[in-house]
Amino acid sequence: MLYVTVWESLSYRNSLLMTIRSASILFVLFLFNFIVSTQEVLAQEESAAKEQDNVMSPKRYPLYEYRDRSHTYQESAEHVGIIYGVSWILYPATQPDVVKNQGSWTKYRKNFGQVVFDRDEPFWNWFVHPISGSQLFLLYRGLGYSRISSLTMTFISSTLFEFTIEIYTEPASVQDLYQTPVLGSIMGVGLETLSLYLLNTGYTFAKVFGHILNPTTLFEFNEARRLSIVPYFDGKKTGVGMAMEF
Amino acid sequence: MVLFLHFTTFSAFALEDALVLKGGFNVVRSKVEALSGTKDSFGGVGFNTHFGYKWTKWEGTLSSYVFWGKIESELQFDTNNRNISGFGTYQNVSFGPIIKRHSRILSPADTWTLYYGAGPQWSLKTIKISRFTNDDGGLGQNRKMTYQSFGGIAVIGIEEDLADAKLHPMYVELGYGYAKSNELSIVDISKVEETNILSKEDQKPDVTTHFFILSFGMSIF
Repeated sequence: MLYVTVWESLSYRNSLLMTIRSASILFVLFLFNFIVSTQEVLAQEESAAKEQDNVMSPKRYPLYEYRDRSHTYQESAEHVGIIYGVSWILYPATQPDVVKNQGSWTKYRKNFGQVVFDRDEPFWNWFVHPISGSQLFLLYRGLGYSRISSLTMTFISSTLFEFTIEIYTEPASVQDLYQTPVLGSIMGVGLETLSLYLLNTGYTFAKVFGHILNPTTLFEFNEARRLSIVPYFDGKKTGVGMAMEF
Repeated sequence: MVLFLHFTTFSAFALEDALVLKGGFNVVRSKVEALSGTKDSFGGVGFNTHFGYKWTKWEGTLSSYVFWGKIESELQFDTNNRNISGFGTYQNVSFGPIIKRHSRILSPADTWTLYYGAGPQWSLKTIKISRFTNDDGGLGQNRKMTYQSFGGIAVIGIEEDLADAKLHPMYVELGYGYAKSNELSIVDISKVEETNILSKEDQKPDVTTHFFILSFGMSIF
């Protein structure tokens, strides 16, 4: 009885082993096929993704970047002249009461050539004048002047303003002559760095804030605005796309 | 460990023949002496800026030192033959050209230059008077007293000797300033947008100011 059971067991055992072996071989074949086919699929998908990438998400170049260049004397004189002319309009436009109530041509003649220490409140000396100087600095930076050249041009413009425009209401101020270009340039460098970072993020909110900090970047004459160059390659043909963004 | 410092003069410096703008912060110890022996000593903080040209060993800058402090002892002043006294927050704004000479210091760690210089300073001191009385006993509010001064400043300091101002070489400077007043004004500050000078005294009220100033900063560009 036990012998028969063992024999029957052996037969059953062989059959089982055969089955297991067959199943193993089949499983290995299946696994191999799965791996290979998966690799092929993955390779195809990767290729398709790269192609997609080239078309839809091109490498992005900075959209705003200050580039220093040289200027002729005539060009610099034109820039100073235009800003001087705009100052004659902006001063009465921004301080109409002061110009109307305190200004006169008699005072203009009396104040001409004088330099004094002004007694203005900190709001004017530590806030308004440095802000004005920073925007002048950024304006010249946008026209292609280097940082040190922009500071020098800001000095020229603010000195012209102090000695020939503001004397309609008050004599030229020592603090304003120095702090407008110097503190303004220091503030301008900070605004330049921050605004360029915000403008080049590509996010709308950041770009709006960047333009608020550096309004000259909105204008066509600002040389910091660049074309966006988008390379294109799909394995068969190459090309380039260009776009202006503001 | 031996610290070796060697003072010498070299002809070549890293940054030469360039316009430079520098700026930094300062801490100050100042003393104001007014009339009738009234005086006060106080500390302050502020900032300094320098815009100028650096040749090889020489540097010429237009410099400004600004600091704020608080006068707590009542100081006496004389304006339009009236004796006034007051105390409050103090502001010093000074400008002037400074000529500096650079020498090379060699140390085991870095290359620095030692510089020393001096120059005249024109300044405007402002005391925003928190309590202001005059001879008739009346209390004035919303007043500030300003006095123009003329004097000088001497400085000595060290600065990193780097190839370009864009590398932002740092400087540390100790200075001493002295000034005597030559004009005193009382200004009404009740309206921010208007500057109303109530009185102006062209005589010399003999207010002297001394200050020691420790400045540190860097070349900005």
